[in-house]
Amino acid sequence: MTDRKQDASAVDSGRDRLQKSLQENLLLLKVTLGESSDIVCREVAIGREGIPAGILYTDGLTDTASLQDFLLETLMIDLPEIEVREGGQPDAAFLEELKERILTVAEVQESDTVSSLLDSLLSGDTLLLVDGFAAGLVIPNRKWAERQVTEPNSQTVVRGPRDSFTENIRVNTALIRRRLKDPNLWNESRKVGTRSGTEVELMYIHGLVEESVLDELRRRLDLIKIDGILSSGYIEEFIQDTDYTMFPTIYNTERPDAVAANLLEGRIAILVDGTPFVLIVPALFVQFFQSPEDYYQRVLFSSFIRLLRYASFWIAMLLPAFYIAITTFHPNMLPPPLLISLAAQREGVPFPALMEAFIMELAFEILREAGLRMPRNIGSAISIVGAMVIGTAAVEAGIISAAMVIVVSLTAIANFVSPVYDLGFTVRIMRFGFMIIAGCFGFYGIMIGLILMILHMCSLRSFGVPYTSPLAPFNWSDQKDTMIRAPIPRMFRRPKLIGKANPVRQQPAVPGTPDTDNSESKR
Amino acid sequence: MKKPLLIILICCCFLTGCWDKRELNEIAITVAFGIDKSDDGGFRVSAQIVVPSAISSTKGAEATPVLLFQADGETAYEAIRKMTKQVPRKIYPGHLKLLVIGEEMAREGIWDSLDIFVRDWELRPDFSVVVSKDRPASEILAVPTALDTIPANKLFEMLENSSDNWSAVQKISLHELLADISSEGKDAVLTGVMSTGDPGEASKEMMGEIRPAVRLYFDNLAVFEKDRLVGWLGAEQSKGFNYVSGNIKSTVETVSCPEGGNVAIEVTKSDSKIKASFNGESPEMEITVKNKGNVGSVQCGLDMKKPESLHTLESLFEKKLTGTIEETIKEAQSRRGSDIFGFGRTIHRSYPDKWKSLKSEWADHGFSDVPVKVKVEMDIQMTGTLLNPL
Repeated sequence: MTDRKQDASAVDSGRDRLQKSLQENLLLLKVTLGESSDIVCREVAIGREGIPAGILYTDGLTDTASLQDFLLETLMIDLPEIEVREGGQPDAAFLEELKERILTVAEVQESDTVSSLLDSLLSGDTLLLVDGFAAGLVIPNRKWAERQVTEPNSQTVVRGPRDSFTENIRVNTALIRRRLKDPNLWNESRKVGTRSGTEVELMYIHGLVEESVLDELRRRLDLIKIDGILSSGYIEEFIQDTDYTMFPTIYNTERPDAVAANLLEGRIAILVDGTPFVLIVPALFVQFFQSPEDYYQRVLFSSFIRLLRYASFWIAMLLPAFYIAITTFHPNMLPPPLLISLAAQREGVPFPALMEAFIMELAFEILREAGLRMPRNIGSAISIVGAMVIGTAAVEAGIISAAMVIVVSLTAIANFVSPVYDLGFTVRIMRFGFMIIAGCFGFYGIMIGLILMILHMCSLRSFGVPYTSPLAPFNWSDQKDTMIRAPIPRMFRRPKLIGKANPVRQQPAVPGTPDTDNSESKR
Repeated sequence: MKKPLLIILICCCFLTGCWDKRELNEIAITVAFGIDKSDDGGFRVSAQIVVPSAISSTKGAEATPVLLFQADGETAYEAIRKMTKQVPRKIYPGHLKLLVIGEEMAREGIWDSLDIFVRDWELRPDFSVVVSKDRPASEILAVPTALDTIPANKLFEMLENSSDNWSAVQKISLHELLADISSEGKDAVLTGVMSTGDPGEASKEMMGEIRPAVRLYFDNLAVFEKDRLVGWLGAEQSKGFNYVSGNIKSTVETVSCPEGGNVAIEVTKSDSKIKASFNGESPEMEITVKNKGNVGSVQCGLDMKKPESLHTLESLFEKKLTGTIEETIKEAQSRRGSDIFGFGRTIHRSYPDKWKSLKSEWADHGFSDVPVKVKVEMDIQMTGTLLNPL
């Protein structure tokens, strides 16, 4: 580790340039890489003249078949006669000629710094160094084992596209571009992570995106000085507006159609190599209640489902608290037969309602986490145990009242309705807070908790956009896509605070009037 | 930004509105209270308390569904607190259904016993108040019932059902009672609750029988003067009272045919209007009762195909009801002080300035001297699926 550091610093301090001598160059690269076994260094003699050259690539990241077909074969067999100067060295223009005329690969770059060559090498490119030149050629023929485009796992739909992002950023950008054939769909690339050199790309539609948001995003990305970025989660934590909040202020999705829809609204997508989850900013609270499916199903059904999601959100967050408050502080709010029935169930239960709810919720959370992390093939075992533990057994043993099991199950199921996983976490954590406050102060406590929560939500910003918009600040035209979804032909404008660079999405279709819409917002 | 939030949070801990946390298995759900006079002149409060485990469907009906506790005290509040000596849980009256006042207590005045039921914040004043006729309330509350195993529930629903479909009794909630007692020119009535047989002999085994010896039923209306019970209206008169006060939701009247036999007429709608007028300085009342109804059953030779028969029935009905109402009014006026129809209130509202002079002697002789004209209208609409009797 320390050796590497010294080498790295050596590279920085003046030895970053290549030398003329091939041997020296190869040695430098090899030493810098600690003579790692997966770095292959092949020394060849080019052409009939036998000019010494070195080919370096990272085993496993390079397409060795194309390496043989297009590089080794060309160089060693098909290379036409070249002019050689005295001393067996080729012409100064040789490297240029190789690049321009000889190498039959799509993209070749020339580079003369050790650091950029190393960067390419470790990204999977092949390096060609020729004796006598203080520069190397970078031949991109990356290929490694990777997952195919599969169906999304966490954001499934019934009716809609079935592809999802993969770990390969190129595949991901291609998936987005396939949906938006717009010359204004721009893509900005940068490397983040001093050691991981992870590729991070911004995608946005020029002309729709708010430039100030884009500048702010670039600034925040440039501030990242971490050694490694392993997932888009790292980026999310670096660029979010507030660190300590329960609410996700950056949207993530594994669905290319969701990204495309968001780009069309004027948002920015952040793609991180190695992650099948794409980040989207700015993100609003209401966005976490929207599933791509809302736009693919018929309008009334979608609106109903969306209202159902809001209802489930409140159920998942407040139901146990509500139950605790009502049974311990406000029994007069229950209809008498229900009160008697609940009281009968509580006969003999040794714990107070708050304790009871805590035990059950914790048990459920444990089961859920266990089910998630466990090896797949013993998954069925946990469901049996789980059903037994939090189901009948606890009730029959008289530890838990039956009503509490109903409350906890309903809570759990309501939690799964959330179309974006992130908001589910929020709800799970807040639920415990509300339970405690309800157990201490009843409805009064729940109200205080809700007021604090809403105050906090209103103070949140996602890249300068109020998190709770378009509810607060209220905006009429955005209501078409908030609690309900209006028919798509009726959604004329982009979200007000996000798409203000170009607010008109479509003109109302008026028969007989010429279409005056500008070309880019019509597709 | 953070500091004000913190201060609010800390304040929350002190500004608690709900300090009395009680689990459901720490409260004694009280569904009925009975108030009697105790031997030493104080209050004897009985509380009917639900035993939840006996009610729940999973466990059988082996256990007693309710328990009755009793305690004496100089005030009702004291008596209720004294009950903790016998009850392991705190009396929770939030779901009170029924308040039974013993006749003996009612004759001395109910104002004092009602105070706690209004003052206590845990109570909702929508429970029904009834008077137990001839017997102490505690005996009434000790009678087990079938169909609904909680006697208070059963009584409550019986009262509701009967006032909807028979209308001889009246469901009066606490706030209605308070409004009647405290308003000027109107006195209160309360439904009476009675039992067949001796409630002392009621036992749980009795519920095994198809026709239990001891049964509770509602009948008669207790007439109050201010807050003191002064007498009872009989069954017919109770109905007459309900016609006048517009409380009839649906009922059945039987009229005799001219050629003998009976016809039952179902009253589906009844509206009453009490109007005051002045003949010089003396007031006059006019009561108009407008009814709509159907022929329910015919046990005489009337030809129902003819419209005249319906007119005959209508006039017969009108005559009968006029008689009932007049009798009721006569009975009420014989007890000078209790203006249960609210004649005084009607005058007060229509002629506030003249009421001022009448007010002082209204209870003495004003009410009993006022002449009353009764007008009854009946409109028979349907004769059912059968024209002529079988």
